[in-house]
Amino acid sequence: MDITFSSDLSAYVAIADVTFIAFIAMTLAGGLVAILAKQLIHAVLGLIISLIGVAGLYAFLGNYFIASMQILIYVGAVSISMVFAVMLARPPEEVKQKSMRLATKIALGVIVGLFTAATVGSAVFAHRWSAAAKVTSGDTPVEIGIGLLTRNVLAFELISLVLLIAIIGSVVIAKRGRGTGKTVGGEEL
Amino acid sequence: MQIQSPNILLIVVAAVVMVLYVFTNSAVLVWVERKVSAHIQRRPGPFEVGPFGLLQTAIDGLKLMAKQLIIPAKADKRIFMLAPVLSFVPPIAALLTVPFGKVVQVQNLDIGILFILSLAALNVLAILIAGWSSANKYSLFGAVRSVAQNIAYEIPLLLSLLTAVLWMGTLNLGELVDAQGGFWFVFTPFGFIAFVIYFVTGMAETNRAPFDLPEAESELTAGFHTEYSGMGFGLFFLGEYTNMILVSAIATSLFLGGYNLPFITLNGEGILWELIRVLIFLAKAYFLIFVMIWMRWTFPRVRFDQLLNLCWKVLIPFSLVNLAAAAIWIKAVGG
Amino acid sequence: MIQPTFFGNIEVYLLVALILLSFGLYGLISRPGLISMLISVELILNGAGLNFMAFNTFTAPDKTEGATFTLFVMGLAAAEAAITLSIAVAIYRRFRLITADNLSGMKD
Repeated sequence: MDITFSSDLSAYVAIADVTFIAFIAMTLAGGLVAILAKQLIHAVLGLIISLIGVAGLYAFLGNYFIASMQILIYVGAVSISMVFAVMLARPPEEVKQKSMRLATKIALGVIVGLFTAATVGSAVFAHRWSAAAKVTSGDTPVEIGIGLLTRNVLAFELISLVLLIAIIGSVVIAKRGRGTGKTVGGEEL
Repeated sequence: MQIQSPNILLIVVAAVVMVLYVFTNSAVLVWVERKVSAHIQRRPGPFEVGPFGLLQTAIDGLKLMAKQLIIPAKADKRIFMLAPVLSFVPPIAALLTVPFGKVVQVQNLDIGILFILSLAALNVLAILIAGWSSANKYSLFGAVRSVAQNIAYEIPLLLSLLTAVLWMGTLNLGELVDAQGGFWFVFTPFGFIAFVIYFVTGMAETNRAPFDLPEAESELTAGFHTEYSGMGFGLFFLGEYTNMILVSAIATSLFLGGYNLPFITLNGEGILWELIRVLIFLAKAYFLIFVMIWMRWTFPRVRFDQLLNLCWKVLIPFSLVNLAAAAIWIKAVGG
Repeated sequence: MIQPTFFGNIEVYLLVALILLSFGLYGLISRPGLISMLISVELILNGAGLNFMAFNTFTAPDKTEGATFTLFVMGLAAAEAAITLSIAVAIYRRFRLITADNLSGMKD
């Protein structure tokens, strides 16, 4: 399926193209900062920028609901937990990072790059992706909700169970850490 | 996808008007807060600069802008400068989708309330990076307390808003107001409980007293914005007042019937009717802000464990039960 | 009828998703700390989600399937991040460091 617009919207399509490139740049630049930054807090901030960029790409794909959920879940909850953990744990990898030699890094980069190119060349660009006939448009929360409660109800219940176990597990693990070994400077937060 | 040509000029003009409104709103609210707090404490408040002290805020703003921007030596400069901007900009974007009237609404999104909630999550991030990048242990303490408070109170906020969405059946803010008509949502018992819970958690989300431990003037010097001087502090301040009007505007749209009078739906067309609707909306929103200011100067600050106990042990069970009861009612009676 | 140059075809989205995946893969292998590994895993999961949504919009008949699955991926990523972070905090309390390769026999 190809997206087309009528010709009197050509200026807006150009603006949309530029915005699209901006979001892609945000995503990839954030990803680069996330994996290359020396300080951990900068890496987390790079991840946040990348997540916001991906939310913009979801919006460009037409699904504003999933874009909002991306910001709510990832930026609003997961990233904040990460920043919290970085603040509480203060890992010494900021100070002296026992990183790999440059040659190893270059070799690793080349391997990952070859893997990327092979996947891209063989799967993405060599195939002509065609659309099937449209049955429902999953843009609105109503249809997603109906799908969750009728067709995917087992996965829905299972993921609520998984989230419950994650909540209980993280509270138990973090709680058991106190009392054995020293806390950070004696603070209890 | 049916795409109409977007009226870019209208959107740009509306965005500029919204920024001006936000600045004016903060200026007026600072004056209102000082006068109301003064009269509650039986003193006159600012009365020298301008009639009734109305120009006091303008002069204070000029003073703030003239101050030197001090950045602590050990602070992380870029993040330090980013935090006030991150606190100030998302509420403005969220205000663009609020239905002040039938037509006075810049963009009526289909996922309206969800968009506003995701922008509220960015405020937490701003506080956290402000506290972290200040390289000051009081700021860090204030930021950690604020984040714990904010993410705890997000749950009853979402649940009470969810009750309203469940009752009305749509996420769209314009439709939420129209679905109430004259019969406001607070007139139903589920709506009343949800409104009270939403108002309390809204006050906690904007770090307003009695939940203002993160700012805690007498305990932590100034919490997470200790190290910010001049316009940096001014931006945090502006962001807080904009958040207040945003919380009140959402409460008005979802619970107090938006721009409708009690038991009368205002459906007229034309500029005059639109003006009446906007005025009614603003009257309700500013009444809620007056209640917030009133509460700040009446109640003492809660202790941190009392704060979290209130959230986890009182507000969350109540809002959950309220949501379940509303759902059962809708299924049994048909809404 | 005009076609947008960039955002109208699926290959761009797939390419961006693949680049995110490779960034995450590189970060996962080269960075030693536990939280840095978590960041890389989040990048990988986001790449996967973007892939799902791209196919959902362009080639899927029932467009709720891709959206539902992306929501599940987000939920699982959140659960995993919560557990990993609490493990990291607990390990740091006990051992005072959280690099994955020398978690044993470390003195200060």
